[in-house]
Amino acid sequence: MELKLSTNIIKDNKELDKEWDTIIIGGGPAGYSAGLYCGRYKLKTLIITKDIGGLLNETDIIDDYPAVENITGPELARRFKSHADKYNVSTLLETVTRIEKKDDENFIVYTSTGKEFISKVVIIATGSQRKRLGVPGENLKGVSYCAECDAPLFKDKIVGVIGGGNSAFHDAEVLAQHAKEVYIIHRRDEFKADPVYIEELKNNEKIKFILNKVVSEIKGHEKVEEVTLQDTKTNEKTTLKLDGLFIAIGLTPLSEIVKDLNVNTDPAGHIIVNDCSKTNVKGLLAAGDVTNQICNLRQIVTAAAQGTTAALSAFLYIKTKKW
Amino acid sequence: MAEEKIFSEEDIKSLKDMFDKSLKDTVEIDLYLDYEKNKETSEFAKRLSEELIKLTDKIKFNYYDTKDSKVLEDMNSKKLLIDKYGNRKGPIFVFKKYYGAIYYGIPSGEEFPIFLEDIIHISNNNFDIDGATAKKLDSINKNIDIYVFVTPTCPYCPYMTHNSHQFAMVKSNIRGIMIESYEFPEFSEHYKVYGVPHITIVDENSDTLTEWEGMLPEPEMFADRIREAIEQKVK
Ligand SMILES: Cc1cc2nc3c(=O)[nH]c(=O)nc-3n(C[C@H](O)[C@H](O)[C@H](O)COP(=O)(O)OP(=O)(O)OC[C@H]3O[C@@H](n4cnc5c(N)ncnc54)[C@H](O)[C@@H]3O)c2cc1C
Repeated sequence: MELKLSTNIIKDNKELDKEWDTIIIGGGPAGYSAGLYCGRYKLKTLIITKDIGGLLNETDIIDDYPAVENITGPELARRFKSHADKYNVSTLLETVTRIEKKDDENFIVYTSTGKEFISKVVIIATGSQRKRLGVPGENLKGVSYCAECDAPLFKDKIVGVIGGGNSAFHDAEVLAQHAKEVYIIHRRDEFKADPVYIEELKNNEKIKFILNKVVSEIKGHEKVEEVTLQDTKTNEKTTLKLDGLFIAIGLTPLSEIVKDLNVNTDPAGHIIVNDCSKTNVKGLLAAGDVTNQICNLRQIVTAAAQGTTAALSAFLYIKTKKW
Repeated sequence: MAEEKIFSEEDIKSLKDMFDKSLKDTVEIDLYLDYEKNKETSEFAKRLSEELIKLTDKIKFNYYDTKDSKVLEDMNSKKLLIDKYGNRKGPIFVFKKYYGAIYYGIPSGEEFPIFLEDIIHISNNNFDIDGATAKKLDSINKNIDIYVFVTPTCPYCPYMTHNSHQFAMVKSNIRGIMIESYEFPEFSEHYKVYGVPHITIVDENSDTLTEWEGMLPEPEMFADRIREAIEQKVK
């Protein structure tokens, strides 16, 4: 049994100032990297976030963040935060509901408990969330979007994972530690997941592959009992009995909060930024998975990199007033 | 063969350091152990407690074997026998001073730091509640239990355990009960826990007032949910 020794979630409850140089929304790798650099630039910085670490929390072992081998997601999250803390960056655990322009030089940021903050610069680092499947029965209990959280609840059970990318393979691997059988259900016969992952999971006896099939319905009384599978070539329908279903079919950017600011986004909703993380709105920057940047490679290292360029842009803008 | 130690040398150093720096008053914890139904985890809980008390004299454990009828009587009077479905009676950790902050099962994995934080808060007699939340909690006068169903690997669960325990420490009519779902499977099954954190709020008759799945980072909004559920019930 593993016991972690430290956490980030304890708040210090000091009253927060109303006015800031930079407010960063989101506490994932992009947000905390931006925080670290803003802190080092001596900008008065507040991170408002629903959680510490963002999607890092949903990853068990990370082995592709350079120079940090084999680390758990939550542990890396703790390190991201404590590094920024060292430079006096404040964190508020709340949800930002809206951002608006106060005047030409300031934004107002509103939170879920009715707090209002004023900031010269806002950095959006809200990341993304898992896409919903959009089929009947998706609201049943036993449908999950977080394998890391819920896998232990499916001990010796039969579960399905929908998807063919890294997230689906990650989920299947975590689930196989608890469940009796894990089915990866994918609409194609090829996977987008990294080859190293595919090889590993093909050798896992608990994991089975169902290819060229989509789930068209999830059925059950109070919880998932079975899914209807539809063949993508023949349209033939079959059923599969399952105790739980994990959905890993991609991510949707969380850019809703900037809707009122007339920010340019791509059709999928990613905020369009330039190499320096600037949006088309003066004083508004964005970094990480919520953006269209860095070759669409949505990883910790790219999110962190963008956080740093956003911080530099914030610093230069506050100093020169030039956008 | 000697049992493997729970804490590594490095863990021991940082825990000792933490305890030396942050503990003031002694914190007493009642630990109920059920060697019949939850043998393995009860044994682990006992070992964990024994390793912890070696690191500081500011933490004390009182052990209760749930086979003993007197212990059961005492548990019954303290309303600690909540698992009517699996009849599992331990391991349960109850802080003597704040008996509303309870762990059903080992606070393992992501929950352990919250257990340590609870100890620090109690030892220093200070709590992590902001003014707005305190005001909202103040208006909750009914006896309620907040069941926070968790798993050890759930990264969002500790936020809910932490807040429910802080509520319990400042309001004696509120109990915050963390429940390790896999150690209390029948109880979790009864409350249909298929995703965590799963929160169930019950009144003193164990009637469910509300339940939801998912984290709520803001303690103020957590307190609001409780208030709303009580008001709904009264209507
Ligand atoms: C299962 C899984 C495994 C992965 N494994 C790896 C891996 O091994 N290596 C790798 O490099 N990448 C991996 N990734 C991808 C990586 O996690 C992301 O690319 C990275 O976390 C993106 O960072 P971010 O800061 O942009 O967004 P996120 O990590 O998503 O963080 C966004 C933050 O914003 C907060 N937020 C959102 N909206 C609001 C709001 N309105 N108010 C306040 N806060 C808000 C969220 O709570 C969160 O804290 C994995 C992803 C998944 C899902």
